[in-house]
This record gives sequence, C-alpha cells and structure tokens, in this order.
Amino acid sequence: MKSLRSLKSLLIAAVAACGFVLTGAMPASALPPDGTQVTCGTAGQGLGLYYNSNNAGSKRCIFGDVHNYDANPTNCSSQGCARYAFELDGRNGQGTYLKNNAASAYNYSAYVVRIYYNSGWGGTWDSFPGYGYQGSAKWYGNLNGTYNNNASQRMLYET
Amino acid sequence: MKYSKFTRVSSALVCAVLLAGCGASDDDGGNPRSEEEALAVSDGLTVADPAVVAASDIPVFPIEKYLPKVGEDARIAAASGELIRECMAGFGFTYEPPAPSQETLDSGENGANRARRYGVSSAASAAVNGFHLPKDGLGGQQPPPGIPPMSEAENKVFIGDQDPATGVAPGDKVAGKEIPPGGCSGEAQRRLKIEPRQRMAEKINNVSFARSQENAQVKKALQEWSACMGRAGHTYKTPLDALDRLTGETPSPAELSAAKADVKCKDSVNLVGVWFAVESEIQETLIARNEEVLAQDGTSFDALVRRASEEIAKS
Repeated sequence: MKSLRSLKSLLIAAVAACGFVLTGAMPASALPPDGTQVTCGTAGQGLGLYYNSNNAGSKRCIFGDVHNYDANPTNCSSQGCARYAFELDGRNGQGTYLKNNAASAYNYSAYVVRIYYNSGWGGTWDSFPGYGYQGSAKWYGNLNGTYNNNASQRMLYET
Repeated sequence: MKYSKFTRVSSALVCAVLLAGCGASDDDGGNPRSEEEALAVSDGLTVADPAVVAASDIPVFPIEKYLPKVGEDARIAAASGELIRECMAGFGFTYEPPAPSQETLDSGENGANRARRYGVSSAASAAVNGFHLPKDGLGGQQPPPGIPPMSEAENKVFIGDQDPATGVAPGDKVAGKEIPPGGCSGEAQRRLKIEPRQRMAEKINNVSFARSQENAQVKKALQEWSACMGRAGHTYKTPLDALDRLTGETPSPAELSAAKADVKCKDSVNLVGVWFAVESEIQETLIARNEEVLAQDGTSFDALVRRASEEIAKS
C-alpha cells in the first residue's frame, strides 16, 4: 500500500534522525503489504484460516486486508491475480481454494480482524479480537456466518 | 429519512410454516431447541408494501439491539490490555496494550455492517471510491508502526498455555515467578470475568442475511436492480456480485461509473426497502423465538462492558 511504504520511510528517517533505538527486533519494516501470505504464528501477524472447525485441517495465514480471497493482490500478472489456497501441508483440505471454504480462524495479529460474507467487505461479518484477547468472541474459533462463506477480510490497524 | 412502519405480514401465516411451535411457551424447560429449529425460517415470507428506503439511509435492523458493538469490544480490549500490562510488569516486561481511539470506543458499528451489507450505499462515496473502501470512515486505516515481536519468554508469560505453540506447562516460571494459568491474557479474562457467549444474535444476523436471498420478494427486487444496471451498461446479478469485481488499489473510471449506477438503481427499484423489510421480518420472528437466550447473552455482556468501563476509568 502506497501510504504504508511512505510512512515506513518517514519512520525510518525519523528513527535515524533521533538516534533513537526502538526496543525489540525490527521496527516498521516488519509489516508486509496487504494480502501477503505469512507464516502462521505471532511472528507473522497474520489472520489464519483453517479448512476444518476448531483450527484443524490445512491452514493459510494472510496479513492485512483482502478484498476477495480469489484475488491475491501480491500475486498478479496480466492474467489476473492468483486465488488464495490452503497450504500444502499434508493436512485435510490442503490445496483447496480459500474462498468460501474456511471453517475456523485464528488471529495471530495484534489487531481486530473481520471476515466478511461477501467480497469487497460486503454482507455480514465475523469479528475476532487481537491475539490473547477476548470480548464478544475470542481471538480464535469457528466461523459463524462466514462458515464456508468467507470472501474478504480486514485487519483493523487502529486497534 | 422518513421511515414509516410497513404493513406486517400476518404472523400467524408465518408461524404456520415454521418448524418450531409458535405461541407455545418454552417447552418443558429442560429441552433446548436444536439450533436448526431455533433458526428455522419460512421461505414463503412476503412483506406487503415495504417502506421506501434510500440506500444511504438504511434503518437499524431489529437484531442490532442484541449485537455486540465495536465500541463495546474495544472497551473490553482496552480494559484487558491494562490488566495484562500490570501482570506483565510483574514479570519485568514492558507490554504496550492496544489503545483504541475515542471514536472506536464510542463506535456503535456491529456485524450488521449496515454501510455495506447490501454493497455500496452512498452515492457520494461511490463517486470517489467506487467499490473500494473509503479512506476515512469504516475504521479509517492509519498504517501502524511495526510492532516489535515479543521475545519467547515474554510471549510465554503473555499467553501461557492458551496457545499450545508456546509449550508452557502448569507451574512453569519466568524470572522466578510462576506463569498464571493462561498467562497474563488468562489473568485478564479472569479478572474481568469474561465468559463465552452463545452468540445467538450473530446467528440471527447471519441467517436472515443468507435466507433473505432465497426469498422470492427479495429475488424479484434483485432482478429489477440487475435490469436497471443493465440499462446503464453494467452487467451484475446482485450488488454483492459487483463487489467481487473490484480490482486494483484505486478505482477505475468504469468502476466509479458502476458504483454510482449501483446506488442509483438501488434507489430506483427500492431494493434496500424490500430487502430490509424481509430481513427485519425474519429477524423479528427469530428474536421472538429465541428471546431467552438473547436476554441471557445481553445481560452478561452488558455487565462485562460495565466492568471493562470501570476498569478503564481506574487507569
């Protein structure tokens, strides 16, 4: 995303200018563009979708916003954009297209995430809080309205 | 928006075709309905004279009274975050919890997703964003600075055995101190007395949305919308189909044109009025049938939100 990259450069410049060392590992450069497939786990900060209920079966973890699970914006050619699919990890459902085939989710990111019934963030949504948090839902669990009806996602950076 | 009460279909007619007994009081009390029964919906539902509703003015759905609000969840998260911070500090870690803005803490948005439930709803927004999300509003994305990942020890204390990936076992210590069950995350849940909900409101929200699309009256309105779009030179079966076609980072002129036509056609055939009316009817039936479960969830969630607000006020 354009704005993300320019903010990143600004931050890196600011850090350099202040001679200030951020605690922890890598700073702003750690965050990937929307739609990037990441390693499942907290380091990846992705939203994990699972083929089966209760976080079983094959999975796929994606960072940020996706407007349509049939179009990975980080993997496009003149032919169009690739469809997300569950990892080839030997588990149930491996290799199946992600769209409308997920049964459960695990939020590895620090952000509130929403999974929508329709592409383009339309229809109803299922929401999950950040990793380690519980409110009206836990940070992981079976999909509700979007059970086998998952079409798009948002990762709400602000909170 | 002037929304007048529409004529309701006879509830007796609706009841006649439902699986669960209507008007029957809660049965023997010891036998909860199956979920299928609890959420059964008649396909033959028709609403006479649905009110005219502009796409940009969609009223509050009946189920929204029971749906958790974004602001409520944000308050619980903020309160949990403070408790986690305290707990982490006890192990020598400086944990920065999420800090939702006041706007988010006050947000009444919920999973009904009124702004985009039926696709784009605002002509003004369509003209600028097409089918893309507006840059402001809808949770206005401000890209965050990168979050430094937690060290292994810190993560163990944070989540404990709630995440099997940490390998934490009961009695494990960090910095000579025993990790609480579920880590500091678990500690916060206990202190706020957070419990799982039955989520009946979410189920009703989803069932009405899904089943309304099989409803003859809604399907007819969708056909009329599609025909209207066709006359404007755009081929889409439904406004949700149109969202499928969104491409690229910014909207093309064709997309802007289609999105504007979408809203215009919605208004010219009263798609939103019809769809909202049918969904409302479905929701009201399901709400009435599941009143007790909704009330249980509502009472305990409201109490949790209050506890969270009190906790926030302390810090």
